[in-house]
Amino acid sequence: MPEHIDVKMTVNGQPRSATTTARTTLADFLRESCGLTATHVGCEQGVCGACTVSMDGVTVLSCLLLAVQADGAEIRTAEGLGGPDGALSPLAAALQAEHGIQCGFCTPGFLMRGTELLRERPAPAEAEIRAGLCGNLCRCTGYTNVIKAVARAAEAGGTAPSPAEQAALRREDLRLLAGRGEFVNDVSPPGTLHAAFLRSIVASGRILRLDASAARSLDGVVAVLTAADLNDRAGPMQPTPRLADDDPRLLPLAGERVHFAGEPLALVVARDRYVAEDALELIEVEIEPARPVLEPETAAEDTTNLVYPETGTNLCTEMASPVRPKLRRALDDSPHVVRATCRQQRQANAPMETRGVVASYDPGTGELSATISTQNPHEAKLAMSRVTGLAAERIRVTARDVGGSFGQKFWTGRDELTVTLAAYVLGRTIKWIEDGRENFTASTHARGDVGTGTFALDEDGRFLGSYLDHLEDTGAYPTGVIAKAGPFVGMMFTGPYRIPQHAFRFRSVRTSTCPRGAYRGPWAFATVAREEMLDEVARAVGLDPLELRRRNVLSAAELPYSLPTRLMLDHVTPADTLEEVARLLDYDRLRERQRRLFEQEGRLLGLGLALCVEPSSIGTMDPISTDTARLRVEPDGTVTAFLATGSGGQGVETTMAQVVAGELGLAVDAVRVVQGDTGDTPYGRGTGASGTAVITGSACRAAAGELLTTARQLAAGLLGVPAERIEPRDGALADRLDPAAAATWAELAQAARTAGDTGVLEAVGRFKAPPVTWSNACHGCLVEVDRELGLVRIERYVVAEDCGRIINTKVVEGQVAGGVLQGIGGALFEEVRYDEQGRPLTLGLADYTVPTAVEAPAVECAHIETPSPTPGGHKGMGQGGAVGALPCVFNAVADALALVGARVDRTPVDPERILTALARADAERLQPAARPASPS
Amino acid sequence: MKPARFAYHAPATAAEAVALLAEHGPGTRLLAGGQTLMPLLASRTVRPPRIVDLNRVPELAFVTRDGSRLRIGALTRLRHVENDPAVRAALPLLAEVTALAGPVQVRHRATVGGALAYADPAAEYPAVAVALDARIEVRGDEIRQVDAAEFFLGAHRTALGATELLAAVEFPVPSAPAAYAIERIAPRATGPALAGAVVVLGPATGRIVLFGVTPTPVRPAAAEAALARGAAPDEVAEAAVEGLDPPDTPTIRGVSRRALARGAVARAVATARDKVTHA
Ligand SMILES: Cc1cc2nc3c(=O)[nH]c(=O)nc-3n(C[C@H](O)[C@@H](O)[C@@H](O)COP(=O)(O)OP(=O)(O)OC[C@H]3O[C@@H](n4cnc5c(N)ncnc54)[C@H](O)[C@@H]3O)c2cc1C
Ligand code: FES
Ligand code: FES
Repeated sequence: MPEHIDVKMTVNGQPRSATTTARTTLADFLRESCGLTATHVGCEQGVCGACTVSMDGVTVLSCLLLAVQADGAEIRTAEGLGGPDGALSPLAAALQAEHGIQCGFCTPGFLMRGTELLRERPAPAEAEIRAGLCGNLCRCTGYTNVIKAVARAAEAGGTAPSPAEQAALRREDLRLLAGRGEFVNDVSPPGTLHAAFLRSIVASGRILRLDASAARSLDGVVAVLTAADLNDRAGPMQPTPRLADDDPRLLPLAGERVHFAGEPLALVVARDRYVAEDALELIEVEIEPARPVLEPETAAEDTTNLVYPETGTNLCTEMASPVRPKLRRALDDSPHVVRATCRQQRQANAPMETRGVVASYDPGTGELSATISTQNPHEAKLAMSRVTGLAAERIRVTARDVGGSFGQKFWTGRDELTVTLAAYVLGRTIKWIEDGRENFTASTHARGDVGTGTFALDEDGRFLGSYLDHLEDTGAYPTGVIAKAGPFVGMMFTGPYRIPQHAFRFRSVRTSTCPRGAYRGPWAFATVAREEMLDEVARAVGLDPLELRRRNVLSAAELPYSLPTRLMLDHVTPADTLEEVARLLDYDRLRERQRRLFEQEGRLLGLGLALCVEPSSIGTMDPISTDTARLRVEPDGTVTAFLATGSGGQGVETTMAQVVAGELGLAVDAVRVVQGDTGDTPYGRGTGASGTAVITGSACRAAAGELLTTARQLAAGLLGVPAERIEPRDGALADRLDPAAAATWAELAQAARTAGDTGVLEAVGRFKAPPVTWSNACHGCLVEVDRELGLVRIERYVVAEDCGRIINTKVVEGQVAGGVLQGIGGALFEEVRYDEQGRPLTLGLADYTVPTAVEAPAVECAHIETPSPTPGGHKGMGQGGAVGALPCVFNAVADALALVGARVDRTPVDPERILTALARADAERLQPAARPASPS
Repeated sequence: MKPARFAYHAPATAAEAVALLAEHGPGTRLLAGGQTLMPLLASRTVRPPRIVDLNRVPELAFVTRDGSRLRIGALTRLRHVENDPAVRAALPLLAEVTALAGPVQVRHRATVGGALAYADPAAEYPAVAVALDARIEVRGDEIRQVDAAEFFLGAHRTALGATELLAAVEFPVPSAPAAYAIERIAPRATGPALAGAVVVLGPATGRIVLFGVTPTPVRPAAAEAALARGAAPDEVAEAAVEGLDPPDTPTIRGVSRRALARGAVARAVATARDKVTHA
């Protein structure tokens, strides 16, 4: 049988034929041979659904079909769903109206499956929608709005957006819903070569031999690069905030030792990814295994078994604040002293789009260009400059659409930089798209914290002091600001509560595991540990968790409040959000119902609460505390905003356009946002750390202010009146005193061509964030735990949040709902695991069980708008949803289990942990003598 | 994650497929729906030198009802089985279980033959085949029939020889509709069950088959006796897991899995009995 096979099929009504190979999947055929890139490849394991297409009238996963199997078939992809005039399909329009889309990577799959579902069931019940979509995973939206969109499309083909909805529509949606998004894997310049990494399967050991000769001589292989080829040519690979640290040096490929299973050993560059992976199998490697360091709690003390022997310790960072005598006394002698431990499992960011880069170096021009999946294009450019040694101005980085990230793509990773260096060294264009297994074993992991808290309280359950001992598992090396952000957990541990004294110890420790990176709220453990421990305290002192919080939560009158660690908390409303959640849940009635159902039927209902203050837009973390915006008025009078952001689903192109339009008195449609291109945009902070609304938004406002100043002068000249009389009116600049006298922005742009300084009507604005802009939220939920099966059902989920002045309510609620579902995933389902030899057991989305539409509760969201003192009055809120939800759900489960005396102390509370806790409680009831002393 | 090279054959008849197996011998893999095999190929967990694709063999895709027997061809898609009127009328349990074997996109491709031949310990299909006394038609040099109870030999091991394919499965259709229930315990809507149970209540006797707890589906005799006696669901369930000792796995300990199986039986018994009362 020949390797090459001719196939013919009809795709979206067009005949297509191409020569392919037997092993080429339909997904790759559609993307590579037909150039139809709406069909996304997320997992290649049949789990994510992003590659869903329709074949001969039914939906199938194109990653699980061979192209030859579709020979003669009728295929439809997301590109083929809209009308011939480019009109959106009814479901696509409904997804836009309901904000059932964020990064858009999963969306084509939902469109294909949802369209079929609506054909089969024109009026589906909600449960049918959920079940019908369970083969499509979304990491951004929390599904709530996707489900609403399907229901909406079912109603007479979908209703047109109301005026309010129209005003909030996201502009990035049109291209994403039409299947014309541009993710990194969609970029394939002519001559693109494909790379694949050989990775260690051993967690720790010495490399004895690596022989790539057979791989090098495989047909189609362009190069096999090893440590010997690349490491000496590499400049620093650490991200900007770590450059000055004396970490063990980070190199492209492991040369002498490996430090975790997944560490890259060699890079194959080949004609296509299939051949590249063939070559990986031909590389011979011999590693002498050593004992890996896997237990962070013992690793901290260990001085003999070390991840990096040359460092003499596994400790990466250590920091402690002093326990002053008064705190010491409180912790020793108070009426109540409660100790509690909280363990948060190792998690994964699990963006639906894995990491990836297409890097191209032209030795003729000496220029390097790269498209990369990143939250921070400008830092990617700087990192590429450092690793290659090329001057930054010779590098251009673009990033159009990013399929989710949640922190993973903020600082440019080692692998992306290695590929860039390879492109530079070889003078070629190289594409590397991380596969699902790599994303789960070799990108970055998240969380993995242990904390022990001690709380002192008076007789009435009022806090007198607290202490937190916090240990962070950093993995083989810290990435980004991880290990530096850790002390922030101890510093903000007391959060929105009146705890007069506090001290902490923070240690981060290296282990022979995948590096830890940023994940939605890198400081999350402060909230997770505190809120989980607070419920433990409530049980120990005999107070309801709501009552304990009421007694200790800060009231408006106490603000500004200096935390014991001197952080200032202000413009927050924790008490209000707590009361709002209690009201929405009808808390007392639920408690009553819980008691009744337990006493009468033995059922285990549980109530959970969690308060969260989110430190957004931190002002002491440059380079990410400052941002710059450039605004330019185009000849037609529209305004283009050039921003350094790298939106990965947050809707930055919409919200920032809203801000600029608001400042200039323009319609939102008259403002276009250009981002994700270092060639066009000023240096800036990227998108992350909940900073866009406050920092980028304020930079936009500053730029708009500058622009108005210049434009006023021009308008004054045109209208012949003093500049002080000029104000924005009806999309133009007008004379305050003369209703008829106005200059349009097009006229002003025209005037600037001759009268202005630069010939262009433009302005730059910059903003440096104040120390911290806090947003806050309270989460509340009701769950039921199945006693027999250890399964948890979430019956109700509510959030009351205060992110200051809201730019776009749907975007805010989307961030909340998506974050909440990530928190629920962490509370109930998700865990990254290793075996006792440090080999990864979690190899992809089949093992890392993120929730589907079936498990996702509807998230009810209430808003309180207390402006921050920053220019727009906003507060960042992109991370808090994920942070608050995890302890909220954990607390609800623990609350239910407490009815029968069962206890859990770590997440996820999955059937295994719940059944074990219940069995232990049963055994203790049978042998009361064996019962441990109460935690106080 | 791309499959390694393989030689590809797409025979047009079952006889040709069998001939290809005979010609090339062990190592040759049959490709049906591919919903299990393709992920294994992509991760190179399996790397067969040769693939024989059954998808162009129309004679293997059919559902026929012949008096008291329902025959389903190996290449029949799960989605077809669950919607087929003959299946729904004769064996509603089979239709219901079929709808559990993965999301719709998966069921559009996955086949009855693949679901049985893969012999996944966590899968519902083998258990249902055992519970319903299915007979499996195996085709090699000759055609032979194997009782489902004899077909599953271990995790991913069956009575199929290296040069045989699973051609069809045949179910006896009960003269009076039996009451039945399936309980599948899984934390998430997609993904393998942690444990599960199928219960079928005939006029005089009852069947219980557990899955997800042992390498092959298992029929606990003592529990079936208790079921026939009319014992309470909890008692039946206790008897069903008596002596079961599933191994610990990274995600769940054996005792917990056993507890889940117990819960699954108790619920399935209660549901099935409920159906009898309301029939
Ligand atoms: C996301 C997802 C979720 C899933 N969830 C479930 C679930 O909950 N429960 C469940 O039971 N299944 C589940 N599955 C598996 C799915 O139902 C099918 O993949 C599986 O049943 C196999 O059928 P197939 O036709 O795809 O087989 P294939 O993948 O084509 O083959 C599987 C194996 O059987 C062999 N084989 C196939 N046909 C024959 C034949 N006729 N004769 C001999 N050997 C043959 C193949 O050689 C191969 O070894 C899931 C799959 C996915 C991708
Ligand atoms: S890429 Fe096909 S299901 Fe994920
Ligand atoms: S919008 Fe669904 S994964 Fe991002």
